[in-house]
Amino acid sequence: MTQTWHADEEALRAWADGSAAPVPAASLEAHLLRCDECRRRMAALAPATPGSDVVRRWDALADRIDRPRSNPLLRLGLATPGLRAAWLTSILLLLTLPVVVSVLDVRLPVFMALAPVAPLAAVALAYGRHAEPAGELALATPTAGLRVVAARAVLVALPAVPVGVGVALLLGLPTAIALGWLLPGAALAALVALSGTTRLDPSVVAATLGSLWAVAVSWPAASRRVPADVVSHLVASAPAQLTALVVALAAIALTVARRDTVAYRRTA
Amino acid sequence: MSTTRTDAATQAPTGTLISAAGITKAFGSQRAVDHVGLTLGRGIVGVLGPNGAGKTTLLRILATVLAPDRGTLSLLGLDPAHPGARTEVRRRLGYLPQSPRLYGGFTPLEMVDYVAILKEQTDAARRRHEAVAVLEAVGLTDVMHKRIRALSGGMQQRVALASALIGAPELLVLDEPATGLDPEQRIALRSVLAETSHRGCVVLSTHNTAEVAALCQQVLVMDRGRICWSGTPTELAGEAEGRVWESDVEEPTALRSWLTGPGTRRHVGTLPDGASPAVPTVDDGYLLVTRLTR
Amino acid sequence: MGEVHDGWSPEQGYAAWSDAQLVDAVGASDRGALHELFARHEPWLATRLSRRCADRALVDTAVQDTFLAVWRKPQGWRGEGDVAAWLWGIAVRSLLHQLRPRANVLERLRNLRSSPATSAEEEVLARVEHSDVGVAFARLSPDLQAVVQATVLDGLTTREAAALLGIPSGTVKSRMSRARTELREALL
Repeated sequence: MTQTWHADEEALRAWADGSAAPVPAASLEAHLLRCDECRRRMAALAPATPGSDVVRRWDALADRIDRPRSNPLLRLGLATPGLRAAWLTSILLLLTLPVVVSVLDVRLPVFMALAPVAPLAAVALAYGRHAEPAGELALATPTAGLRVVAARAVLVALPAVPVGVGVALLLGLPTAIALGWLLPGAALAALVALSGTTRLDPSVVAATLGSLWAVAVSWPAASRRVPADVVSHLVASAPAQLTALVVALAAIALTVARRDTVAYRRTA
Repeated sequence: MSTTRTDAATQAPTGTLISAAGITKAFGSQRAVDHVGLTLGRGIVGVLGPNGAGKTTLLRILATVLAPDRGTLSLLGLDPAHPGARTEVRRRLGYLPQSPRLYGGFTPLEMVDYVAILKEQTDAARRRHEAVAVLEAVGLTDVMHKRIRALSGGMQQRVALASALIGAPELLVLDEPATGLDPEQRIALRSVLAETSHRGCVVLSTHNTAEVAALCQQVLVMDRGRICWSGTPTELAGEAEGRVWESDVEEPTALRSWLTGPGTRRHVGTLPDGASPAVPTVDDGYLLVTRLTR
Repeated sequence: MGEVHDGWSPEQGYAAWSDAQLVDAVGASDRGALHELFARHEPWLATRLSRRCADRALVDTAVQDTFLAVWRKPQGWRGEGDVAAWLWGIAVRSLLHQLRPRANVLERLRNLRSSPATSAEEEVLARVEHSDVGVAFARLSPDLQAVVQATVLDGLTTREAAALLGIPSGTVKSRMSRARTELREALL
């Protein structure tokens, strides 16, 4: 739009300090909505110097907008796509497993065979190179090593636990079985954590351990020698659970003792 | 053959910040770092050398990311071989890896804030305040709410630099910090690093002599895993004093010759009779010392 | 604030951008673009708000809320008309929100619908000063002037004008109709 007039400095000043008469003021206000030249003159009247209103108001605004948008815990645990996928997969797995078991009425102890794989995968992924949003930079920080890996694994695996237990109970699986996978899962996860302190690749160890567990649990039932729930109850029995607990604690203790090697590597 | 200089240490009133002796690191049969010894105090030190000279390995050792096979190392008076001491060093350390791969889904502010969390800063308000300050120092204020993947390579490099600077480290280890920066930005980098160098030691690597001249007070020239020369950038240029000349033919006495213009060649080596020496540059000195030690 | 030329970005270029381009850039989380918008529009917005409300703290909050709204919902700008008019629409409603923090849901919904579009009346008023209308407006009593300003100039609804002026809606309506009558009589 072509402007027919511009406000002079005197008029702008009178408006700014409130001494302008109503009509010129109303006229100027309407004019300012469409004239960037006069807005510029208006801004020039009160330059941005330290302590001026415009600086003070900007600082207050900046204080509001300059906040990280996501939660620190989420950034530690679920930031990268790989971790988010793992988290979702483990929850989905634990959500669908009991449904599959009860709907299909399979002969295999599917739930017992696969549920412990969720925490195991979480630990393996937490060790993964791509799990760290800051990449190699993170290795030179005081929390580098087992502390951050453990925090990440717990953050990824923990939400899966109530989901797995809850859904299994909801669908009428016996309490012993709904809870029975937790200690074997913890033991397997702890073994993967331990492998991270050695030269072994945690993801390979996780894949191997996971498959071994699944095969070991489903083999007797698959070969039709024993019914599925006998195996499940065997896993849930006190001696098996106690063994899992001992393995988990021993592996965790060893991992903590060897934590040094996680962040101070002798290889590239 | 290790060269130990104590100049930097005597300049710094607080004394030695980094000292290393006989540091060796091998990958398979190849020694990436071979009996390196150094003593560094406050200031900005450039590690200069060709690709594959072992700069990155040395810097990763100094950043406590990699353990040396042999040798003794002391960072800020602490031995990083001991876990407790290493954690303490890391609290006071900033590290910029060679090709920092930062997750692109974060904003620069979130990334720097996240690294501050890794550096054990628990107070969220203070952390944010510091993050905003370091992002301003590297000129990223305007883009600090964009996703990192939407930024240019040079800007991503500066996000990583800001992450290294968070927490006011006394020891700053930067692997090729000037990658992706134009000359004007290199000057800006220098003023950012100058602040850290007043309170601590900045070690940076580069294969660019212009960067060393622009950024560093001291130079370590590294070749084949060893430190083959150390001194100031001016002294490095001085090495070629009377040993650099120009002509338009190939010279048998030259250790190294390269074309500088149409038909003009520049040589370093033993000045032939009758040739008039040229004014030496840091480039000349660097090419000369790396050739002499081979 | 305080744009220090630190050498990192030799050519920032925001100064050459139009307001509409800046709002687009704010949509891509460009903080620098928000800063430029703020530098351009905060001075007149704050002054105009101060003329409606003497409480500096309320004006500060209204300014902050305006630009927070721009930062968080730049898509509210549909690319029509002047960015300045859009900003004023947000600003005057932010101020109203301060004056009347417990507006009920129904009213808020109503506010959402009434777009802060610039009316044809404003264009007339832009050149009103030396006209007969201007003279007639100046002759109105301050009470009537305030109502005309709030409804015609600031583009507020009757309810909003009532809240801004601290009088019942019915009074706004009756004063507006009186002002209309007086203006018509003065002009005919």
